[in-house]
Amino acid sequence: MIKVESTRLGELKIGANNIYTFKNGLPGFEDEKKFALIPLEDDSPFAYLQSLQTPELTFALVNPFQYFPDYEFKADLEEHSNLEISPENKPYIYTIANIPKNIRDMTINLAAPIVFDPESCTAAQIIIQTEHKYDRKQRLFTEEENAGEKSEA
Amino acid sequence: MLVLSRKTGQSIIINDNIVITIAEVRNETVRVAIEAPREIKIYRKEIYEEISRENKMAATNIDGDLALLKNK
Repeated sequence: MIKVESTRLGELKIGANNIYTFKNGLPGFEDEKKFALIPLEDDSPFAYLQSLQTPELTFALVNPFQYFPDYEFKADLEEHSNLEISPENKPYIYTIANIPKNIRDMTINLAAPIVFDPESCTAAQIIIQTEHKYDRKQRLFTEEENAGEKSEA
Repeated sequence: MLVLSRKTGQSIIINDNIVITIAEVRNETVRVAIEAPREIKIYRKEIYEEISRENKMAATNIDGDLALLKNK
């Protein structure tokens, strides 16, 4: 177990298999190479990504397939040569979320998913360069769903 | 910064293994052909910067409590 300091989540003990190396960091955070992947619960589509270098740096992640089953992208894995992904070696895919106070207004960035390879414990954020294919601020819940939620409450 | 002039069809070689060729010049648009090893990442700069901005925004924008959604 590795001790991880997080301003948001407190002091955590994380199994070494959940510590991922981002060889190139993430865009905007090029020097952040080590993160802990912390799923909220076993089957939860939500997770936190906590920097090991910077306690203040936490991302909220969402498994996009849970909400967008047709989501797809092609990644040139040779570009990310540290990712050793093969058909037997299924990666985890997450997208980065923005979570405002009203959680039902949260958005996820479908244009730049993060691929986690559990075998090599490496990860990389992929920038989908096909223009306008996916939204950088995709709502998870539509306005209608939110309206329904309110009337039930 | 190095600034140099090239004509259509002419190239620049960087670091022995990256070749940038001016493929076409038409009005305000220059088409550039890039040959590079596959592990070299090539992005349109504004797209990289947009994702960089999105990441920075997301890192400071976790106000809601994810746990509220966990049983969805």
